[in-house]
Amino acid sequence: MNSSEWSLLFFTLTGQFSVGITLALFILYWFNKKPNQIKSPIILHHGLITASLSIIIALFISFLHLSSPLSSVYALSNLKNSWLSWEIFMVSAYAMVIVLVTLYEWKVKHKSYITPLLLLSTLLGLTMIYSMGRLYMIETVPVWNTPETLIVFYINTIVLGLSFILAFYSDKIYDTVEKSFFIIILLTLILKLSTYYLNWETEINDNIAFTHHQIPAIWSVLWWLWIPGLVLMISIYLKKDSGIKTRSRLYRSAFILFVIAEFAARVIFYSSYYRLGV
Amino acid sequence: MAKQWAFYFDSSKCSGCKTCQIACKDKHDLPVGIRWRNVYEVAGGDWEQKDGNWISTIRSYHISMACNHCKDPICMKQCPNNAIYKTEEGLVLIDEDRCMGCKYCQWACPYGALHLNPSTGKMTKCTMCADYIAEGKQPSCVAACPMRVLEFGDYEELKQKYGNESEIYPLPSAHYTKPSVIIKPHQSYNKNINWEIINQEEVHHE
Repeated sequence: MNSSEWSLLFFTLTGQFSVGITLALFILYWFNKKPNQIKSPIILHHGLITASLSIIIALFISFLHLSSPLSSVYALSNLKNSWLSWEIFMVSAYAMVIVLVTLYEWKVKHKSYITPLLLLSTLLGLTMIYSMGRLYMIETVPVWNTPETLIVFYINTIVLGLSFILAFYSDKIYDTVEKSFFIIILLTLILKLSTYYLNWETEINDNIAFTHHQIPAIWSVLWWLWIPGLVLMISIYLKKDSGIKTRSRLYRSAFILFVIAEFAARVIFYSSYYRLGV
Repeated sequence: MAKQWAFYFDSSKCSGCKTCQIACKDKHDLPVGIRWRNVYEVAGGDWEQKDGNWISTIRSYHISMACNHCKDPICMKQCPNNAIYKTEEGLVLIDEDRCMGCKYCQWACPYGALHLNPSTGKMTKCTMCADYIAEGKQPSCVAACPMRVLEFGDYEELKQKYGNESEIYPLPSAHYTKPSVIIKPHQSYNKNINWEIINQEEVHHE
């Protein structure tokens, strides 16, 4: 992995974390048709602030990747052909909207528009993730040019966002919501396992001079940490009578394991780069 | 049809002296570590037992490669800033003022033609010595080659003269970018040999 790609790694992870939280908040409010049915509005307040800060940090980190950040004013010039142009556009649009929604939630007393605003933010966020994934799907980079790139980006978004809410606010949501979050994470992680066994990489009948760098084995080991994370979540679900503190502790442990696993997955992703030709 | 400048490279006569590489570096005053033109040393083959004797099938050849000023440049398509453009004469050039140094073009180019200049923070690449061409001169690499294995000219004219081979190892299929290059393969070239680049440490780039 090249040194300049660390900033990309942190940018994608932080950006996806932000969208994941927005998605979780939308699901939360969508389940509770009327805002006054929410058990604790603090989740919305904290969640939006975390999502906004995350995307602002992600934007800042993205500049670290650029050798001439001042020229980024031209970055929207090639929306016709370049997915990178689209990603920059979508990250900016999502960041602007989520910050405005955060201000709305903070300043406005009667939050009657919060669900449609969360829906708008989520749709923008998910489109941002799509453009983020598509930009790696370059025709001459066969290892990234597979549906797996998009799928893992969405998996990461869903798992990080929903498990964050469970880790820090499980005592402030209703059981039905907790259960639905658990099922979504479970299904997402099953999809993650299937991508491991489905060999997406198409047969390459072309010249390749340089293959990817050796990936240190430690990252491959850390990639599997989502399995103990999943086991922890299942154990919480099975032990319904466990106390709030124990549940929170277990959810937090699972969240940390997911973060480490996703970080390792991203290191492997960037390290696996090679292209056709020289 | 619009003009398209192109390179012709005769691998069958190249001695691998790398004068082209040095001439390019010298002309453009490129910093250490950046080479717009690379000479790849390719080797393959093995020892085979035939009638009780061990016979060597080991062969080698050189490929001198810079930007191929492709007809359908993938670098230009990927650049978010529209910093890479194609001139009326088919040259693919970089507008340094617009380049933000994201290296996205470098990821995509299958000819390893784009390089970040760390001192300017901008991507750089072969210009085919556009200033020399304007003066009616040859690009520095072509002019410097002592074996006369490099030639430049209009793509269609070169194609009529030499054919249209451009896919020999280690180069990819031409359909990705439609490179403006024609290569005469070395007489030992055979698609079925286990070719590899043997000067990897020297020519490996991001």
